[in-house]
Amino acid sequence: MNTLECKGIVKKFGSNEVLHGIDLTLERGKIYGLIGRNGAGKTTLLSIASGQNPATAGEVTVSASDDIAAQPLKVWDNQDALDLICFSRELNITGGNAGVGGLKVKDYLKAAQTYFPNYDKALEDRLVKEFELDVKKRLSKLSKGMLSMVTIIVALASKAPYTFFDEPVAGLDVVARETFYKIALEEFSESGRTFVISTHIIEEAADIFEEVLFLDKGKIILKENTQELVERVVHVSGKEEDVDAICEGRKVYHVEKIGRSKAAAVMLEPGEELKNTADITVQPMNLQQIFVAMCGKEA
Amino acid sequence: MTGLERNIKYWFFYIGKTMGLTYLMIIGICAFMSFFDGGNFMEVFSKNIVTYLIMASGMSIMAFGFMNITTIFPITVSCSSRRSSSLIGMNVAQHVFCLLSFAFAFACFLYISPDSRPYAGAAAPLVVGVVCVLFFMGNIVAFLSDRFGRGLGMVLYFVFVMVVCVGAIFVGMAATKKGSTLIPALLTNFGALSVIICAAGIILDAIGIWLLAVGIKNKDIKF
Repeated sequence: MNTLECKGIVKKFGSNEVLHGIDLTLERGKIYGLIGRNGAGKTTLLSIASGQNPATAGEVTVSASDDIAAQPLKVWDNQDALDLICFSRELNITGGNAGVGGLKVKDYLKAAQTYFPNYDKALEDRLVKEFELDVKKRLSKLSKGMLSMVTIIVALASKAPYTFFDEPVAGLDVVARETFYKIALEEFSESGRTFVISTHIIEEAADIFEEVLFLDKGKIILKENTQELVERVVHVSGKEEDVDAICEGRKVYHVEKIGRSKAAAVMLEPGEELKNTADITVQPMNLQQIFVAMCGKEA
Repeated sequence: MTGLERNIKYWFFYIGKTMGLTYLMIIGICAFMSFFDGGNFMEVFSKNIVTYLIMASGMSIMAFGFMNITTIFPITVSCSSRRSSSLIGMNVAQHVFCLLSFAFAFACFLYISPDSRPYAGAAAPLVVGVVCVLFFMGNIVAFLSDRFGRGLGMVLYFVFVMVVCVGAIFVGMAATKKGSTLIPALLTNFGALSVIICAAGIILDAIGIWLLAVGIKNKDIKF
């Protein structure tokens, strides 16, 4: 099957282990949302999955075709595998014109044009025009939003089958964000690429995520279809004993007690429904609320 | 195109552009100076081109190692290039342009100094050797800065240079003490000396590239 697989990925910086044995399979032709708090390990995971940085332990492989007999390719230091992946990372330009900041936008895009084998220059030109980007400007002179535009352009124009976006909408105004989502969906519909988008602006992007990955403290705590997840996790509130009865035998997140009342986020079984009664109130939760609830401890 | 071909293409583009700007700057300086010399651009150019070209190329070599590894190399890796291919492309482009610059400077020198022409054949390997030693020094700066940070890396580099200089002084003193025949023997065999320096330079250059490769092989790339 056409997939990118991470097996047992561990990453340490010195003695500090930031990724703990991550197993992850990304299927071809899906849009994944990678959600996690600051420092959860999103960028680290994406940089390892894309072969840009080495893992301390574990392996990343990618299969280039649907032929089951074909051996998957190891990603690390393998150009054939690297040609299938684009990780356009967030650009943090500091120090004025020194280093990367001294490059002009057109120089940065030139590098992308040269290296990505399927790079679409026409799409790049279209995106530069849509985002009204001045390609003669140095990267150090761009605002945070404009830097995000540059990384978006590289990622979309790369036409890589597996494309990772690291907080692509950071600093973008609402019009630019809508443009990004629209073009990303267009590109996805045309090409069937796999997109992994890490973002903090969860609710806005939730509509385009087919599956979500919650990363918390270096572990993937959830990987599920977005729609099914939103249907399965509900907010239950009422008297403590009634809520406790509902929670019995179920996964419960983010419990709040106010006097004799209690509220909790509860994960139901697939297909299960919970209705409002006189004693308990059941409310749906959006993806952002579910993530916030899950980042607390399981009760 | 293979990954290596893409790297050769990109690094030649990038370093060619950088060196091109350097050459234009040299021409601009000569043009500026010719204003003070009766407007004779060709005379000013031919008097100064060798010095400027050697200085500019030498400084570029020293700067390339550090700048390209910290700035452009991460960009190539972020564009899904293999690290080894990028390092090879970088070094091939750097060496080609700098060797061509020195070769042009050497040719200009021979043109303006006809008395030196008989020694051209013997001196050519020396020029190559000197360029390779400069690349070795540049790669040492890059390796130390990358491994230990810019500040400590530069301190360690100066310590390294001081150790080399002190060592060279002692070797020189031993070679020139009374009764030693080493220096006269080498000077009478200038061609052999030139080839020895060339070989030593190439070996040092290879060591510098290897150190850089070891340093970047499993390094975490960040922007």
